[in-house]
Parts: sequence; structure tokens; C-alpha cells
Amino acid sequence: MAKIGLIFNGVWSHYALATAPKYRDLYRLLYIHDLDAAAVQDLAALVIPFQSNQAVLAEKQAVIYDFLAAGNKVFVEGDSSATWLDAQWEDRPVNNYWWVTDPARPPVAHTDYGHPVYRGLTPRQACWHTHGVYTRVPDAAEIIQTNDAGDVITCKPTRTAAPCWPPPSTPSWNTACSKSPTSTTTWTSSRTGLAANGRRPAA
Amino acid sequence: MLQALLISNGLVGLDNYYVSNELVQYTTCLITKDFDPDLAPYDLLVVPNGSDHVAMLKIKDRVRAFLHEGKALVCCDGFFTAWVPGNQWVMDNSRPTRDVRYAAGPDTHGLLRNLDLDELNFSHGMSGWWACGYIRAAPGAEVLLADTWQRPVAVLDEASTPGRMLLTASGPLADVSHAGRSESAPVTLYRNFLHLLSTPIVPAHG
Repeated sequence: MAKIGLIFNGVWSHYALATAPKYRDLYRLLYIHDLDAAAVQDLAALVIPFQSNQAVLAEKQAVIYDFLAAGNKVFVEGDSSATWLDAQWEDRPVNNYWWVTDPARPPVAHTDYGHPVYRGLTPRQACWHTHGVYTRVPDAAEIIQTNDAGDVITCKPTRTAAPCWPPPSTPSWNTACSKSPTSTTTWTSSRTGLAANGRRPAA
Repeated sequence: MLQALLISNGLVGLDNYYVSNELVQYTTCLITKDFDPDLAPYDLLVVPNGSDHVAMLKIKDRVRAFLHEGKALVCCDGFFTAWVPGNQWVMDNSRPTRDVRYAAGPDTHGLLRNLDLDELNFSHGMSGWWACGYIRAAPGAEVLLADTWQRPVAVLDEASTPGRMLLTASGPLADVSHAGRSESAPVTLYRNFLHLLSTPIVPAHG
């Protein structure tokens, strides 16, 4: 039974991935306009892919943050919006041709291969083609990948790097904080990701 | 001036692709759970890359009625649900990208005018990076561009309905020059289509 929910906004690429024979036993498509707590209650992780509907994600962010607060995992690809994620993603020219023009210099320049997501991969295997970068991430985020300019490609929070975790039902994100000992968000910069500490953006 | 309804799936940066100009005035319709747009005020419906084809399927009858009024549709890439009258996009990545080349069809309206085909054939020296899959074109539709295996990747359909449909298996089809970006083959194709829509039809024996 699929344990990873792929938030799907009617885009073909999401549909093609989640229904491909290689992946269909892993992913469950979750149409974003039907996303609610019941839809994610038996899942272990959510994937929020490239080309997601950021406006609706902002409306439904409580579902995502409640899911995190329950100890589950979320993986977010850029393009993402700061309206619901505490990070700034910016568009950049796509370099999907580095392996032709300069194969010794992939656009992802630095990777922490000690992180489980990238452990065992070669630099070539770990290099995404990126559509953008994160120019701002939460202070406590663990940086996993950067490009030559130092822009963040992938990051994630650590348990100790989540000093402030607003309870899911807290109406103001700037009020009470509590630790979330098990939640993990991973964010990546457009077909790469970024892992965060789960804090909501400032209201 | 054309009045266009741009269907938005809430993607970051979409507004930069569709900037109103002397040819066209865009109104953006964000897809919501209750998506049910009124198409009547518009001449052109733009369904760009990354659109919600589940939502579009819900309004397929409305789109058909819109086209039956002689209006126009641009749809770029990925229409995997059956909402485009007569035509269906098909996902396929089984062919080697190194073998992909596009060939122009008869192009009776000059939509490929001033278009450099090699801009679509090659991206930084790599072939096969423009079209995703292909289109099962309707009978009578004009194939503007076909791939190495004669599969349509850009289609002008004036046969399935009284309206016009410009359909591509890729994109983005938009005039991004109005947002300060450089000209490119997709810009040329899109602009040529807008000019076609803006040109009054003169009766043959008028």
C-alpha cells in the first residue's frame, strides 16, 4: 500500500510519475483541491513537487504542518512560494546541459554525502538539473547542497534545529513555540529540494 | 485587441509569461475547487504548460461551446485528459532524444513564419528537449510540426470545431519578450497565432 502522498494539481508530469509501473506502488496521488487531514492520515510522507499550485498550498498549509507535527516527513521541490514556506525560492536559468559543455563542473557544486538522502551517490548521480535556488532558508536549516555561488539547492532541518514549532492550530505563527522532535521537512530547489525546520513563515 | 482568459494553476512566475500588450489583454483565472469560469467575454482561452487537466476536464463542454462560437484555444503540452475536442496529447519518452528532429508541415496560415526550427531541434546542442510526447491530431487538423517519426507535435485545428485550436506537445508558448526576455521560436509561433486571430476574415466573394 502506497505510503507516500504526491500532491497533484492536475499536471501531467505528476500523474505520469505516480502512475508509472516503477513507482505506482509507492505513491498515492492526492488531488490538491481534495487535500484534507483525512486524505493524509494513513501516509508516512508527502511529496510536494515542482509545478505545484502554490496559491492552494498556502490555503491548505495547515494540513501540511499538522502532518509534520504528527511526526511525518515532507519533501518539497522548488518552485515554492514564501506564502507558506519559510524560505525564498528564486527562478534561475535551467542548466540541463552541463554534462555536455562542462561535465567536470556540475551545477550542484557541494553535496553532503553523509546525509542519508545522498549517501552512496556519485557527484554525477547527485546532481539535479535545477530551475532555481533558495536564496533564503531558515537559520536552523541544515544545508545539504549548494551551487558554486553558495546558493542553497537542498537543505533540511535537524531535530535540534527546530527550536520553534507552532502548534498546528495556533492562529498566529509568531506565538507559542514548542519542539517538534520527529518532524522532518526536506526542501529542494526545483527537482532538488530543501529541508526545513518546519517553522511556518512569519505572519 | 484580443481578450484572453489565462487559466492559472497557481504556478510561480506565470504572470511573467503572459503580459498584456497591444495585441492581447489577459485576464487570469486561478483554478480553485469550484473552478467554473465564464468564457463568454473572451476571444481566446490560454491553457499553458503546467495546467490542471483534471480541472479542464470538468469544463470540457464549456470549452467545446466556446470553440463552437468561433473562438480560439491555445493549449501547450500535457493535456492527458480528454477535454480538447478531437485531439489528445500522449505521453511518450520511449524514443531516443538524440534522434528527435522536427519537420514543418504545409503551414497554410504562415504560423511558422520567421521561426528558426533549429531553436526547437536543439537546446545547447542537445536534441529532443522540446516536445514531450506527441499529439493524436484530429482528422482534418493541420500538422504544423511533426517529429522524426511523423508524430504531430504542433497542430492547428480548424476542422473539429468552428473555432481555432493551436496545440503543442511542448512550450512554453507565450510572448515572453514583453517581460524582458529574449525572442525564441516558441515566442514567434505564439505571436504569429495572435496575429492570425487578430486578422479579420475577408469573405472570398465579399
